[in-house]
Amino acid sequence: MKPYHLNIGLALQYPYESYYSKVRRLVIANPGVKYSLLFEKSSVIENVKIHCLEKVVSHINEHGSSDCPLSSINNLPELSIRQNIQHCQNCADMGYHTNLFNCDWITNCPLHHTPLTNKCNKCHLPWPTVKDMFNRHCTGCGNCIELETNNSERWKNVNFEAIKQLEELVLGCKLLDKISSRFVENPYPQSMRSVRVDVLDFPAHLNVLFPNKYAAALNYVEKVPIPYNEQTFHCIPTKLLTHSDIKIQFPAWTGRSRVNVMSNILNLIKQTGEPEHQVHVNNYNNFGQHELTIGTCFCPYCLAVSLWFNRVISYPLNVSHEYIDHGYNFFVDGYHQLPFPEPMVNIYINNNAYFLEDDYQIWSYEVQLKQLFISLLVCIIPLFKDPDLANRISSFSILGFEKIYRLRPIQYAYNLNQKHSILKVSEPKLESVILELLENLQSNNNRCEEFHQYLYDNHKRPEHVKAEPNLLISMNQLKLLEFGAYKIKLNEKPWLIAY
Amino acid sequence: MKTNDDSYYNHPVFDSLKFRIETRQIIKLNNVITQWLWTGATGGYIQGISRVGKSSAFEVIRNTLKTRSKAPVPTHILSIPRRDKSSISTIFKNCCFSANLVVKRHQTADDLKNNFAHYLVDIALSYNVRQFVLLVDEMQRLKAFQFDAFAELYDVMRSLGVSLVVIFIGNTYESDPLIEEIKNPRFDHIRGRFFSQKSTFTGLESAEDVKFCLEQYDTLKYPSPDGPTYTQFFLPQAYEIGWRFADQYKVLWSVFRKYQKVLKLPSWGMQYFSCTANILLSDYLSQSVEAFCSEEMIEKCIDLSGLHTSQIDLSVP
Repeated sequence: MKPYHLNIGLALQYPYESYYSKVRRLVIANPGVKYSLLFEKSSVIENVKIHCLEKVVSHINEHGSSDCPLSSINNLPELSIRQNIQHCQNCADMGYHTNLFNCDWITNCPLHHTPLTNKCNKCHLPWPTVKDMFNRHCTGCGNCIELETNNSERWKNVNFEAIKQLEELVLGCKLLDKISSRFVENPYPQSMRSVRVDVLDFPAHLNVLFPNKYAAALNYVEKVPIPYNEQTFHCIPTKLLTHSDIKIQFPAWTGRSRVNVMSNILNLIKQTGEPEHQVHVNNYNNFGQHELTIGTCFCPYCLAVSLWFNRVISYPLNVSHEYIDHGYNFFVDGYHQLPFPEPMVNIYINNNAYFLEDDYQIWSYEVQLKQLFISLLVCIIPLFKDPDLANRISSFSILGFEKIYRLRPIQYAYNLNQKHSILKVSEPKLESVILELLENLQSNNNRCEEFHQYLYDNHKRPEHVKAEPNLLISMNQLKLLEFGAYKIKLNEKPWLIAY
Repeated sequence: MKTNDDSYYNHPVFDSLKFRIETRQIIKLNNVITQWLWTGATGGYIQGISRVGKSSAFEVIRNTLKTRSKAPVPTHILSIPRRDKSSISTIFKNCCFSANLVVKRHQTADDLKNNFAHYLVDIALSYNVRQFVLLVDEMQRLKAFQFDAFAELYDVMRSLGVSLVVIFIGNTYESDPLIEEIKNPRFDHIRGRFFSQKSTFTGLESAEDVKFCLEQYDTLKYPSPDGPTYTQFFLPQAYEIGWRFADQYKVLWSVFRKYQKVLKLPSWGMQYFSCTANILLSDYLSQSVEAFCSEEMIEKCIDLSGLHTSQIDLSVP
């Protein structure tokens, strides 16, 4: 059987349209064609289905990549089941929809300046899903549009510049998705729909970076000024390197980075805590939910630094202060869910692999180290203020997840091509965030000593691990430790104290 | 090539569907339609006697139409079948069938119309032009009210940003009553759109027309582009010594003139001409090395072309 010809509806094609829009014009351009004919399996219509999908796919391939950068977001399946679709009535009247409408932070249509709604003004029903679209006979949202007036005339004065600017802006954030997917399994931002104007990761930072370029586009959203540091790095095309390609996953410079960040953290603690306070680095196998709920006091600075230290040093130097095969796992389980800082050697941009220059690798690694510390602080602060909280949660890290994800750096790429790429990176001023968080904590030396005595007294080590006295380690020793001159073995160092 | 060779009979001369030669009338028709396109006409109609080669002419020119900026203008040929039931809906249904679009029982006339309109608009926009030419063949089979279907189609396409030019093609005598009916004031809206422009398509009218056609036998090649010319294919030895089919135009025309006078023919219809020339070339001239073309041979070929038989009734006083 010869497959039917299906129209694409090119007359209703406009720049930066979404999949939803593409399907709608397919529906409008093929009146009377049922959903089942297009998408459901049947021996008779299989040809049609393939034919149709081929058309959609080929169309997207032809036009999608050039004028619709958001086409990489596969919204079709999602919108087909999604109930809460945002849309502009004027755009819907002409069969146009853009993925930007799905961003919660967009409140008005950038083309018509009218508020986005979740219902069609003509039939007063929620905007249809892809499936509903076929059967809804409404010129505002369904399988037809009004054609009385000249369609092309209606759009003659519509300026897509605002859409273009916002698309670029979102694309910058999409790039971050790809980059940050190296950080965690669920990269930030998990979905642009979840981004709100009142959070740090709102792309208003681009307004700070490019105030003129994005000024028009951002008229349609609220702006949240955030101080950011901007840096530019170069990317060189390469194949995607695997761990086996990278001989040393944590090269020597990572040690310098860890020392730098550690020094920064200790300085910041000094600024907020008591001057004579010494930070003890310890393991927390014997300290967890039970101890917290019975009111055992703890030093939040030392806890945060210890967890951070264990996390960042255990893998690169192959040492660990966790006896995860026994004892408490409240903190261990918790911070295993936190991002694991490691050097970023290359990234994917538009399906091309790029090698990142050394400066970028150092920058991103240090940012990750700082972020990890912030993550730990935001988890520890609630526990410090209300230890009973530990009773109600399974893992301490869930206390700060939201904040953790907010504080990732935002990166924006341009000049994307096969040969060369430039990454513009915008980093929130993490030191000021750390300082702000530390000011929430009020600890004192007595409390710290008491805490460490408790840990020492109740230390339940495995039989093969001998008890060791506390060890004070200076920054110089820490540097030696980092550079491999001084290796710690598991059974030798249950304690480290850095000052 | 030997006549017992299978590929010998693949030659376009033996296949009326593949055989296409240009005539001076086709060039003239092309100019007329191009003029309509360039002057913003919304349509027109072409009349010609039956078997004169109107449909073939449109097959030839459909891919050659261009805008003023030399961009190709897409076309679609719609042939109207004779049906018991004449309605606007059947026109749209026929349109959709011709484009292989989905046609279901539940679809309304509006559905079918919009479906076909989007089909034409998609093609026009994929050509990056805002014009589309719809060629409607056998217009004599239409009822006057069915022209409304094309007016509606024109309106829908206009609202989608593409201007439709509808060109109707019909047999002279059969479509005359329809043209007369359209002149009624109640069809003003149809007449203004589609019947303000008119042209007549004729067959070969002079010896020069015959020469123009025969010259193409001496230049067109099969297999294209490196094969022998049509003349060379059938008469290789004669062609080598300089024999050309085009040189026979006078004798061909003089023989036809005899028939023309007897049968009172306005022109030599392309179907009969091409049939005559093909038989003459492939079956008669190819039999002798010298390719001598006699009047008797040509008469035989004209008889075989069916010209005489088709005009019998007209020739009887």
